[in-house]
Amino acid sequence: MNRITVFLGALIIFFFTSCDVKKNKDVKPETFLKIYDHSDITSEYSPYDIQQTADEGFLILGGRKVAESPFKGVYVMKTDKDGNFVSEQNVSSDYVNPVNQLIKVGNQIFFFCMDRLSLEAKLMKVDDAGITIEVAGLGLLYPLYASLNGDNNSLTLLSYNRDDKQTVVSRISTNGAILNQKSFDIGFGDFDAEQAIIEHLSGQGKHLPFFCGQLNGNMYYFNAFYRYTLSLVFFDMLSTDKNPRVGLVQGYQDERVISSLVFKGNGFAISRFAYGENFFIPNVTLNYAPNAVSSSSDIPGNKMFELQPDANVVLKNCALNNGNALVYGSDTKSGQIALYFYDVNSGMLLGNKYLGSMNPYKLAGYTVANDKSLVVAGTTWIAGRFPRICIFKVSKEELEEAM
Amino acid sequence: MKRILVYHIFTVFILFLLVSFSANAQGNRRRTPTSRRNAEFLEKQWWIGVRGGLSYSKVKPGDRYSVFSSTEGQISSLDKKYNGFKGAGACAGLEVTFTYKTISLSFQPNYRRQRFSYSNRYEWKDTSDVVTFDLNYKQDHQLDYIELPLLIKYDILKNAIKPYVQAGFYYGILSTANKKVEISGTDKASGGTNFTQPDILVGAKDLFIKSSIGFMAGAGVSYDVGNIKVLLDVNYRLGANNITNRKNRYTNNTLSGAGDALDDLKLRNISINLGCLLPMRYVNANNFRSR
Repeated sequence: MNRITVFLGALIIFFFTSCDVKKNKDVKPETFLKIYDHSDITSEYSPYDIQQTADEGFLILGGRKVAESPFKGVYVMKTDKDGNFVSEQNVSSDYVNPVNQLIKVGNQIFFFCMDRLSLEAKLMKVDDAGITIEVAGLGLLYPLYASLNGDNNSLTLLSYNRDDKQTVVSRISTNGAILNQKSFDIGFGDFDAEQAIIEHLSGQGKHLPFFCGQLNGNMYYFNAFYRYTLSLVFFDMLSTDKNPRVGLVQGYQDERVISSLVFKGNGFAISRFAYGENFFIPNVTLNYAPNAVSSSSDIPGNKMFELQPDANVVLKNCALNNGNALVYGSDTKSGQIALYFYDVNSGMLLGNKYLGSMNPYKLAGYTVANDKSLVVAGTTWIAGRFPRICIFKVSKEELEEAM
Repeated sequence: MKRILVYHIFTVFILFLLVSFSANAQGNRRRTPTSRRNAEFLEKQWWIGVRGGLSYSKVKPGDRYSVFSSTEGQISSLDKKYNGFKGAGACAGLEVTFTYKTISLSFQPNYRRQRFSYSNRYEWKDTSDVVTFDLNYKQDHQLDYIELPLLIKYDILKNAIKPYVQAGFYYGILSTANKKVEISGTDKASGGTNFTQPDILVGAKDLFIKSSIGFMAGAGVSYDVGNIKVLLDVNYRLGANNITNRKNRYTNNTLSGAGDALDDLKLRNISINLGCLLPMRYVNANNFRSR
């Protein structure tokens, strides 16, 4: 009988200390998918980018349909750290065409948009609650892309000057002052670059991979129309030449184009597309010396068969749990968001992860959260038809498994 | 905190019963004269047998979760509607019981299928309320557990038909889990009518943790047919832990892509069992007594 008592006592202790029950109670959910729904069948929002706020929640910059303009209006949504909806702001329809990037400068978050009537670029600031205010009008037309500079205190803005038919790159302070600026003719030829830009901005045509940034010191780059074609251009922002000498990686119209770029210090990671085919090139040397000219279509790379033709690619050098990795985000033909992880130095593929199922999903942007998870914003079409903003949080454990 | 206190009280109660049961038996052995040993011997018995039956389950939701987050503040509209004890599952297993007079200690390992279901409904419409689209998800779950229950039984009467009550606890180990999602809807937005989509069938073991623990209580009757004890009982199981794997709530691409995320869930189960037991101890072949 004593043996029975001991056995039963042990069973009872086992019963009450079941390991996974306790673990499950203590675990903090680090992964989620949230789809932000509205019962209005006509409601339509498109996300552009996501950033984490100081309270560990998330801000999503998006576009919304406005009756007064062919361009998207500005929409800002705030969620808590678990992705639950907190608030939204339909910014006045005087502001349209929000540029894709939410840029974090210290604890402040900025983005650019455009005045609906004058088409002037505006610098906007969003607080942690998602309240948006105008910082300054910039006197520039058609903002296309913006990025944070290496000094972590100024921004580079790519814009298009319709009056002079020029691509304009400006270095801008966070209070809206233009510190430096260079302009480049888009050129004239058979291809109507301006129409492609307008259709890109209004969402009526092909999405074009405009981007810009600071390489190092005075060297800047942009990927936009230059001499008839969408090309990658390197230049000296402080050059005193009226027409600064450029290092050029030439595309062809908007058909053979570099679609994303990260400067790694000793080389580049890029992606490109050519007539619908997509290539990832995680380790490449580009000659960006003044007057150097090369062609993007000559750069060999990994052909990504599963991606949509001329796919949108978001490429970042991300500080993840196991160190830095190049993260290529894009959209698959099967309607999933695909993330590919590459070693920064060797350019070797570490792994990949596909997000979404059942309904189609499309990537907007992603950010690395404080807990080293990857938070991905995108669009999903509920029942294949109602576009809604969604975010995936991919935990650091899932990222480690994927890599 | 309250739950932990209940656990401890219950544990102490079970241990107290066991210890007093054991002490009582040993004390009697020391005092008992040889002539009474056979009589006392027959008051103790080991039983072994099989039992099986039907199992009806439901779940009690705790914290609610959804893939959808309403931008209109209508959080309750996203809540799932749970069905009651609907859909039978089977259970089968062994029983090993030690009886002393009218009290028994019974170990009843079994394989148990627990089924539960819930539904979601989502609706979209325009301002006129004429253009509408709705989606209905019916989500069926089938969880198979290897269950290890330990019970104290008490025979209320000593008749040929003996009613008894029993109570105890169980520890279940998840063996398999599957989930089926049926999708249907009404599409007036496209000028259509009702539609259905192909069912989603997925393995769902990752969505649940391995362990299921809880308390159980029930009542039944036993009847001695020759050397065999036939029994019929009904038991209610009260799951004490959240069986949803909180870490994996959103990790199934197919399910979360379809808008599904499990709530925190505790199992409830009613089972009806039929069993038969054989005695394991005899004074001698001529002096067998099963009661």
